[in-house]
Amino acid sequence: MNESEVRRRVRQFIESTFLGEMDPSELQDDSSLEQLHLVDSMRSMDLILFVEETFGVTVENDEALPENFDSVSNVVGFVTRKRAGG
Amino acid sequence: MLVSQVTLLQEYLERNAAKYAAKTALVFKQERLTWGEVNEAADRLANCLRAAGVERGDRVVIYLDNGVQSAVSIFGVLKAGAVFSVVNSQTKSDKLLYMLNDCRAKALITSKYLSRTYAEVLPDAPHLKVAFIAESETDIAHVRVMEYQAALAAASSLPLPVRSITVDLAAIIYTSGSTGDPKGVMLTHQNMVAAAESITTYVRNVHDDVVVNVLPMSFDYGLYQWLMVNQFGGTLVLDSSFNYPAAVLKVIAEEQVTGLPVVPTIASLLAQFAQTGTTLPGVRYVTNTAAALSPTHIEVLKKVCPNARIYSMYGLTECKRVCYLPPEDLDRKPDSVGRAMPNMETFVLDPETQQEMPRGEVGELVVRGPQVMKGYWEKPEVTANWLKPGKIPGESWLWTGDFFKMDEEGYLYFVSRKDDIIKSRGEKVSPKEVENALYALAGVQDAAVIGTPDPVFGEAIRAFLVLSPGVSYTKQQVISHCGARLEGFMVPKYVTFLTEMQKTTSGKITKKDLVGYAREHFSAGDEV
Repeated sequence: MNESEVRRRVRQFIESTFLGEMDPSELQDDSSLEQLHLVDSMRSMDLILFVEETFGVTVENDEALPENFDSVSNVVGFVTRKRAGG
Repeated sequence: MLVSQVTLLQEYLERNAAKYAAKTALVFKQERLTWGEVNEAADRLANCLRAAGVERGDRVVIYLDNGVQSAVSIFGVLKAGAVFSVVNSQTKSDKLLYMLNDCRAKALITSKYLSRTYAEVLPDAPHLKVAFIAESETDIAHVRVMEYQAALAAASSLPLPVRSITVDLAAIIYTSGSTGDPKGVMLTHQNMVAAAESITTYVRNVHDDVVVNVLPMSFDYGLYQWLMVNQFGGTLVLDSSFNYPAAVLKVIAEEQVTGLPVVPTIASLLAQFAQTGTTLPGVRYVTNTAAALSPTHIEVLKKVCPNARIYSMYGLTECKRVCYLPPEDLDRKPDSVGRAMPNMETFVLDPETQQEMPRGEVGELVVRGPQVMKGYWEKPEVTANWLKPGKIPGESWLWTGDFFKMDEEGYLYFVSRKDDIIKSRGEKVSPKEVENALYALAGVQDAAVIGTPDPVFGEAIRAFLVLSPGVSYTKQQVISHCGARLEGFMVPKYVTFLTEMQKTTSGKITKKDLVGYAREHFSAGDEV
């Protein structure tokens, strides 16, 4: 799976699960999910579970950080690094 | 505790700026401010507010997430002699407008990233004259908008002359009521100083304490972390949420945090770290409020914070805090929320006769003390139901609406609430408010909301719906609809569709039946 396919799937998950009635065009790839109030502690766990199940990577407790999960781009970057073994 | 002569909240800040000007007062992500810097920024904001026409006693709404801007704004408003009201940043347009108009706010302090909510309602807030908005300077209808940082930079840093006195209002904190309309709890400087002094006494705060706060400052428990740090001249490490527990734990270790305030939801989220052996040995106290800690939570907190004194507490916004369980009694009386805090007196009374209940018997908890609110903002009838004449002539006592019992040693045990308010994630949720949002969905015939026990949320919101013939929604559609109208903690976690609901002869939905239905059908867990 290449990076653009990872991005497509991450976006699709966030749009279908978190956006509710918000217009998807308002969500930029680097928008903070927290600042848009799209995630809370439960939803950030849902996102982590989605990443683990969809991309076959393991998220350690100390990797559940905003720099890895707080935007579409951060998630894509994290998945890419993990899949490359980083 | 520092013995002080403080009578106004902002005097705490001024005292720290004089004594520890170069000491770190506030840490928020990459930003660090000293006491001198916080004080100067607050003076600048006070001058901005005054120049914009904000006078003594005027209300200023602070609509922001936790951050430097919100922490500074609280004291800027006080230094202008005005009254602050911190509104949760998750608040949606309708409720924000209600609050702006209810307290007739003259000024608003916010940030452009929240414009989706505030921009559409400002034209309908006739009393609002000015808004200080980070990263925006475009006027909205009749409201003059000034860019927050630019306005502060251009303002004088000289303190304004003080005209406030101790019985002046310092804050209005909105709290959910069972009727659905939020009520503004009026707190004077005297109320808030008394509460801060009492709590820092029993928690034994010292000026070396570093306290972390992830709870919103619209919630009195979150707000008081900042006020109390001001009281003892410590350091506050702010975060905007506990959405990423690992990030918060990292900051706790890096900043050598000594004080960790939690709600049961945070204790639940810490469980995974307890399993992997993560410890925070530098934390010397943990406080918990909103709901009693379960034995599992206590175990988790003891594992993660092995050197901490753990305080189980109870309170309500109307008087901030009522009681705390001394940590040495936690093993002996784990179900108790302890005894009255310093400078507070508690009674368990019969609601009918107002006589004291015998020990061990259930009655309504009633309190007296300097922390008790002045009343609800412009709601004298509601106030009269809560503040009633006490046994001491001339005094009003606060009837908490919560049923308690007291044991032979004077320890208090929470039994139940008098109304049907739900406590989820540490916040009060009015079922009525959620039901109103559900009724806004086309084709909803009946809607009823109850709280359901939840290991992480304390109570989760469970909605029952009867739809009109031919109408259908998925659970996710209902949840999304609510998410667009309500703060996150109010959004139902569970949605159940029914074909009918039992009603009383007067047409009121009998929620007791729904509680029974939930117990019967979902005791083994939900299908979602």
